[in-house]
Parts: sequence; structure tokens; C-alpha cells
Amino acid sequence: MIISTAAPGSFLRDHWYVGAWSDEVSEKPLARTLLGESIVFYRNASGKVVALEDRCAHRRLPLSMGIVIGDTIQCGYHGLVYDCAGKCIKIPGQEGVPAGIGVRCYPVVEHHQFVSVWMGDPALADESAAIGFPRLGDPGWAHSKVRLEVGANYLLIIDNLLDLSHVAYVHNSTIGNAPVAENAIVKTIAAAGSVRITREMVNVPAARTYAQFGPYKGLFDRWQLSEYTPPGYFLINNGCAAPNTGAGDDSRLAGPGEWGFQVYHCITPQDERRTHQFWAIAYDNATVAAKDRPEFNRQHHHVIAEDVAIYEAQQRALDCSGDGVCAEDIHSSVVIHADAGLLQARRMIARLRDEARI
Amino acid sequence: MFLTDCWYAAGFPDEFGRELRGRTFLGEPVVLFRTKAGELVALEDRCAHRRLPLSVGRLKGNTIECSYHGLVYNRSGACIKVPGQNDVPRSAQLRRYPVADMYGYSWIWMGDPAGADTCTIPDYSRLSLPGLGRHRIALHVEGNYQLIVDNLLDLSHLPYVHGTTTGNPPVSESASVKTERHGNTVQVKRWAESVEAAPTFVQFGGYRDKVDIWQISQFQPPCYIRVSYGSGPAGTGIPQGEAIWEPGHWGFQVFHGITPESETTTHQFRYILHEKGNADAATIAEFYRQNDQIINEDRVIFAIQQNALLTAGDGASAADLKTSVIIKADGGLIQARSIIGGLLQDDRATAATRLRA
Repeated sequence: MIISTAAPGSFLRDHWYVGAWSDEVSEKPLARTLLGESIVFYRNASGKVVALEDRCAHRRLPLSMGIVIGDTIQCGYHGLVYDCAGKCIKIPGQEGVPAGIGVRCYPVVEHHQFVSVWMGDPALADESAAIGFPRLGDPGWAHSKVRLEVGANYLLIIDNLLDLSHVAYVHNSTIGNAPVAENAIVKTIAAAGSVRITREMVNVPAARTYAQFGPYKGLFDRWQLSEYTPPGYFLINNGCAAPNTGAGDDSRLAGPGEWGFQVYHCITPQDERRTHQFWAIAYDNATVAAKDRPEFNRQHHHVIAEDVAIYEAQQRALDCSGDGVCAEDIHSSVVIHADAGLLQARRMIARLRDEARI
Repeated sequence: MFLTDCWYAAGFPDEFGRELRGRTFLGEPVVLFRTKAGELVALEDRCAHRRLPLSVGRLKGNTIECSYHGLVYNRSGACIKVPGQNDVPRSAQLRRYPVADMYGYSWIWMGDPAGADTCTIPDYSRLSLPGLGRHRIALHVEGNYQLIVDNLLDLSHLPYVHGTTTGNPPVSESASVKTERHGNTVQVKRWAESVEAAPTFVQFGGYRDKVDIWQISQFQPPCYIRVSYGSGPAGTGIPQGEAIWEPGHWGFQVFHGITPESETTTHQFRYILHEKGNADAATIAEFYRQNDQIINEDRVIFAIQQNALLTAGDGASAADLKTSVIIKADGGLIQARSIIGGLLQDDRATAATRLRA
């Protein structure tokens, strides 16, 4: 299965990527690698997040080993000081700073608990295009979130989230049971800027997590509505309703008798073999009673850890194969029906990459 | 480059059962299990779909269910189920490897299955003889298999690597060496008469005076190696003989199952075989401990050699060490390397013919 002729390593750059959760960034420098680039994040005196290239222009020491002083960051080696725009404004022991000394500054927008970073040409950064999920931080909704360091290429994660038939096998102690793979009616809709996959299950037994926390203990209707927006954003609407009440529309989770939750994934490549996965689950306060939330959340954290084990096993298998495969082209010898969504997404990524090269 | 049309030791038979075990041979990931009837099955260890190793999947009856999207494969490697769809793509077929349990090993055939004839499994039938003591160990070696073959065909290393057990100076300084090649087999005999016994021989052979010693290494490609270690009181030995367990003599035999995992790593499955005699359990346990120490001493050498090759930067490899000196003791390993090299060349010629046809 050859999806793209693009060389591995060609990440999509002219996009917003989640670099950190808001609460990870403080006046203490935070080092993080995104798309192979080392970045230091800090909060300046007015509370605004700053993202700079994480290496001093002088002896290349990471600035994240330095200290934040007001709006500036000082290198921990020879004390060079940089402002919020990355411009070097002080070199101890000498008068003035030669023109042009500085480090790259990345456009940043902080919204809905995310610190999003523009990894491409700063002139093209449009803050209004940064993807966020307003339910994170909505007082009427509860949420739980985590950042995972995954030892695998980001495409393996995207594959996973676009084929939720795996829920039946990988997550069979919690949210999965056989009908998720066996009885789902699957539709794949590729729109201009996203891929939507709907999975509908009618009159099937409730999987454990649903039976434990939801209103339906026996048979129910269930849906998984997955929406992928490049480069790495997923919004998944998971829910259920009384058996044979039929497939609903996109407003599900809002109707009477409907119960469920939203899951968000923001996938940011660290390098070819490592990925940051910013994950959150959010649900209306009425969905799960406060006392039940720790266990409900725990089951979902367990789910995401099961997926990480899969990605890392796949990556190891690719690395050890010796036949030139990589996440970009895994030489799969079989395409199954459930692959429709991920094939669409991979085509979309390849097209965006081709456009970026022109 | 490996010889593929051969049986290789996949492991010991009781390592495989009703659990999936993943192991890599000759760079190919393989998943092994036993059917409910106990038959050994070896399949390509990667789902045809998203390449997840099937060894992290689930064994259900005599089938494997992939733990990612639930594709099910039967013991022949055919995909028989794709959840959520009625048809199964014909391309969803895993490679199946011929396997056989014999002489205390599970063997796997890594080449064209049409050529898999269990008659070509090396004659390790002595391992099945009743009444003998045997001890086994499985090792993961951080080195190419040819480094192990070299080692076992040049036992002059004993005094230097195994000086606290089976090695002492006469093994290298006073020994006569004879290398014989018969077809594709190599035999290296090494013997010394009326010399000091090495520590292990003193301890378990009970010698107080000088001894005759002899060692016979036998090699068959790709890397089947048996080594006999014999000793007797000075003047009573059978230096060039096979007999190691004549009355009054003391010795043991070592059988090696050497299976390349990758170009730089190797599985080594080893048995030692000996007469129990009157030795008590504690004595035998100490003898086994010394043997495990010996093979671990070699393992350290292999890893350091391999690392030196990988970091050399002059194109050296286990297949071509670019060594600048050949010593007399290299006779056996040079023969073995020439046999392996010739067979690899034959394989390449056959492959080329097949391509042209």
C-alpha cells in the first residue's frame, strides 16, 4: 500500500500544533521538541506564553537550562539575555549587542487549555485557524486530560483513531465489545478540510464502561463519530441511546435519552519515532456523578495506555523489519473495509504535503 | 546474508505451548505456538493489515486473533476472518514455516518449504540417549553467528577466556592440531599428551597427575557444531579418538543450536551431555555452573568483537573481519567460512537463475 511518495520526515509545517497544556507552562522554562525542533516555553511577566528556539545563539546551550527574568530569558551558560521575540538584548561584559543576534520566535496562541504553536512561516500564522475544543474549560462540563509521550510515529496514532473497530479488541475490558467491530454501520465522508467517520451500532449489548456508568445496562444503540482535521486533531463523539431509537444526527449527545462523552486527541510529532499525544475526555456534568468520575476517567486513561502499547509494538516491528518499511509506508499486504477512513486521511496528508512543496 | 534452506534451532520444545511466543530468526519475525493437540506451528509474526506483531495477539483454539483489529488467522497462516466484513482478502496470508521437534530442539526451516526434509536435521541423536546427564542453556548473543562458529572451531582460546575452568596453557601451547574437511563438514582435533589438567578436569575427573587431553570440534553448515572434550591419565588417552567415556576417562560433549537473529545478534541454544558416574547432585550442579560461566565468558567476547566491528568504520564485518594476520589455529574456521561462503554463493547463483527464468 503506497500512500505517498513523500520522503519520511516531511512534517506539515504551516499549521498550528499543540505544544503544551496551558497549566504546563509557567515562569520556569519548559523544553519540548516539536517536529524535530527544540523549543523553550515560558510565561513572561504579564502571563503571556513565549515560545523560542531552545538554543543559545552563542554556545548552543538549551535556553531551557536558563532562567526567566521578567519578560526575558537568560542563558544559563554565559548569561546572554533574550526578549520575548527572541532578540538578544544583553551580552554580559560587553557594550551593546551586534545586530541580528537572536533565536527563532514561534507564534503562540493560548486557548481552551491548549498552548498552540505555529511551526511554519510566521507570516502565515492566523490565530483564528488554531483548532481548540471549547468544552475544555466550560463550567458545565467536566474533563480529564493527559499528555502522553508515545514511542512511535504520529501516523500510527492517526491510523488508530480513524479505525475504531480496534476498540473491540484492544479495549475489550472497558469500552469495547465484539459488536463494535462486527455490527457497526460505517460511513466515511471526506470533506474539504477533514475526514468524518461515523460508526453506528443498533440494538447491541452495552460494553462494560457504558453499562457501568450509562443509563442502558442491556441492549442499546451506540455511535462513534470521529472527525479528523489535519495535521493531528481528532474530535470523537461517543454515545448511546435507547435500543432502536435509530441513528441520530450530528447534534447527538444533546437529545433526550442520549448519553455519552467527547474525546479529543491532538497529535504533535516530536520526531520520526516519537510523538506527543494531548488527550482529553469531556462530558456534561450531568453525565457522570462527581463521585463516579475518578473511576470513569481511570477507565479511559487505561484505554489510551492500551493504545500506546500497540503503537510502540508496531513501531518496534517496523524498526526491526529490515525491509525498508516505515510508518509512512508499512507495506501492508491487505486493505480491509475499516481502512477507508485512514486511507482518506493519509491521502489528505500527502496532498497537503505536496501543496506545501510547490 | 544467511543460508535459508536449512533447519535452525528455534528453541527448546517446552518453550512453546499454548501461549504465543515471538522470536526473530534470520531477520524474520516469527510467532510460535502449539495447537491443542500439541503440534508446533510457526507463522510470520505480523498481521497483514497494520503490521502489529501477532505474538501480542490472542491464541484462540488453533487460531490467532490480532489484538488490534481482530483479524483471525488459522494455523496455516490464512486469514479466515476480518471483523465487520463478509469477505476476506486473499492477500491476507501469513507465511508458514515448517517446524519439527527432534533431539531436544524445536527446529524451523527458513527457506523454501518445498525443500524442508527432516532428514537434514543434524544428527544430535545422542541427546536422546537415556541414562546420561544433560544440561541446557539459552543465550541471546550480541554478535553475528560467524563469530560463534569461529570461536568453537578454535579452542586455543580456552586458556585465555576460560582460564578458571576448562582452560590452561597446554591447551594452546602444547597441543597438536589436525583439521580435516570431508565434503561440507569440518573436524578439528586438538590433543596434548602428558600435560597438567585444567581446573575443571582436576575437579571432576579426579586427576592428581598429568593427563592426556583431546577436543574434537565438528562443524556442518549452516552452524551445527558439536564439541567433545576428553581426558585420561597420562599414557592412557585416545588422543585422536572419539571415545570420551571409556572407563577411566572423563569428559563431556557440547551440542550447539546457533541461529542468527539478525546480522548482529544470535540465539544460542546449548546442551552439555555427560556420564553421571557416581557424582552427587551438588557436584553435578557445580559442573553445570562452570559450563554456564564458560558460555557467558564467550558471550562477552562476541559482544565486544561485534561492537568493535560496528564502530570500525573501515567496512569490516563478521563476514569479513579484515584481519591482518592468520595464525595456525585458524585452520578449522577458515575451512568453515569457505564452506559457508560457497553455499551463499550457490544461493545467489540460484536466485539469479530464477530471476532470469
